[in-house]
This record gives sequence, C-alpha cells and structure tokens, in this order.
Amino acid sequence: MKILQISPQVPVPTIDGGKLSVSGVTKSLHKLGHHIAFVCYRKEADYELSSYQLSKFCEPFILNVQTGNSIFGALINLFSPIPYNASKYKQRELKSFLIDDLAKNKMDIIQVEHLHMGWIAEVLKKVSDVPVVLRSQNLETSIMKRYTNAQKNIALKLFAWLQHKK
Amino acid sequence: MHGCSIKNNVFLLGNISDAEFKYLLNETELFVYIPLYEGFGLPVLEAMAAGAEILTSSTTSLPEVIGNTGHTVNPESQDKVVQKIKEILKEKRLDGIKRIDVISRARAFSWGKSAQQHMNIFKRIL
Repeated sequence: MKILQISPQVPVPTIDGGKLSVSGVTKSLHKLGHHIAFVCYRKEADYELSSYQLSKFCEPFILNVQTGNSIFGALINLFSPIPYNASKYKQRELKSFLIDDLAKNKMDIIQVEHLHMGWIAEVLKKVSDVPVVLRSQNLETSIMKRYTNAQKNIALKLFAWLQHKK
Repeated sequence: MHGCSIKNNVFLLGNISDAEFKYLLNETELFVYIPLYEGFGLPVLEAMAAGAEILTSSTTSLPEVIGNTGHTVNPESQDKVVQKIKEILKEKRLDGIKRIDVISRARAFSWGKSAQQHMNIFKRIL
C-alpha cells in the first residue's frame, strides 16, 4: 500500500510522546511492507540528519517551514475562528507541495497526524479522492481548558479561554 | 526544591541514558506517575515493560493502559496520593508471577499491533 503521512514535525529523534507515536507507527507500517511518503515541517530540526534518519523507514519530504509561536501571530489569531495552535500550522508550502505531489503520485491512503493538521483535509478533498485518516494525539480542547484554569496572568487567561472556545 | 524539607530525599537526575533509565525501572520499588491528563501514557508503559509496580492517575487513558496490573489514585488529591504510596510500600513487592502479568500487559501494546490496527482501518475505508 502507498501511504502519504503528513506530520506537523520531524518525528526523530523520539524525544517526546508526539514524535514517538508518529515514528513508531511509520516504522511499523514500513516493516509490514508498505511504502510511506512522509511530509513534515522542518521547524528547528537538522535537515540532513533528519532526512537520513527518516529515510531508513520512509520517503521523507521535509518542508523548510518554521511554526514557532510569536506574539504577532497570536494577536492576529484573535481575529481568526481557528485556534492559534492550528492556524500556525496552516502553511501554503504544504498546500502547494501536496497539490503538486498528488498530481504526480497515486496514493492509496493519506494519514494526517495531530489535530493541528486537520485543516489539510479540505485541501486534499479538492485535489484528490484518496481517503484521509486523521490520528489525533490529544484532546486539545481539554488541554487548553486546563491551561485556562491554571493560568494566573489575566491577559493569558483570556487568550487561553478564547483558544479553548475556538 | 531549595528550602524544602524533602530536598535531601529527592534526587533530580536530569538527563540520563537509556541504559540508566532501564536500570532504574528494573530496580524501582514503585513507579509513581500522577499527571492530571494523558493522551496515552508512554512512561507508564515503559515502566510496565520493565515489570515495575505502578501507581498512576485514575483519569483519562491511564486506567486503560495499566488494566488490573497496577494501582490508580485521584491525581487531584495529594493526601490520597501520599496515602496510597505508603499503603503500597507497606505491602510486599511484586512477586515473579505478578511481574510477568505486568510485562505481559505491556506487551499488549506494541507498535506492530498499532500498525496492524491502522491497516484494519485503512482496509475498512478503501
């Protein structure tokens, strides 16, 4: 089976549960004999080293995109209906890559990792009839609600509450 | 920790190697992991794979991960956590058979099985 896997981050080295869960599944699907084309944002990862490590169990495509938090981005997000933790991952580089890649390569299934990347389903549906699966790591709304309750800073508490409601 | 009465009894190990981590899990009398929320609980699973006795939160995914091979407690109640730790440490350490149960339970979760479950979903929708 040809699987296109889309991740918000490079899943190696496996230093946290999010990375471990993504690379664990990818490696095991590879062991079962499937071909995985793996697309992710580079963020701070070392491009050469990450490409080398990933190429042992998938065909990596690391897009040179930073998705770190910024005050400016957070302020702009106040006017968006999408939570900041999702909107910052909405990058045209990925959209362009997928439109181009799916025109050239036939995939059997597309697996999207993490809720923040769910926005891509709309793009994929417009350019392809390949089924899309979303694997969510956490109940993000619960995390944001807890953060809101625990936050002492009034401005951050209000921001977090808005994020939770979105 | 500074200025706290327990500072002489708590060791902050910082970054440790995989080998050191395995050694600690193998030698631990009780693995205590009390988060308010977990998406899954990989630290608990790692401790289970080493056959450790476990005390974890009674919330979110953790009871499902440990099944009946460990102990759970309400993470919002510090008193109950302390009481539970004391109770468990008073009891005898896990015997060989129970250790095997814990390790067997850990083996129920593997990346291979996870990949197979993914494949089942893929095949169902194709």
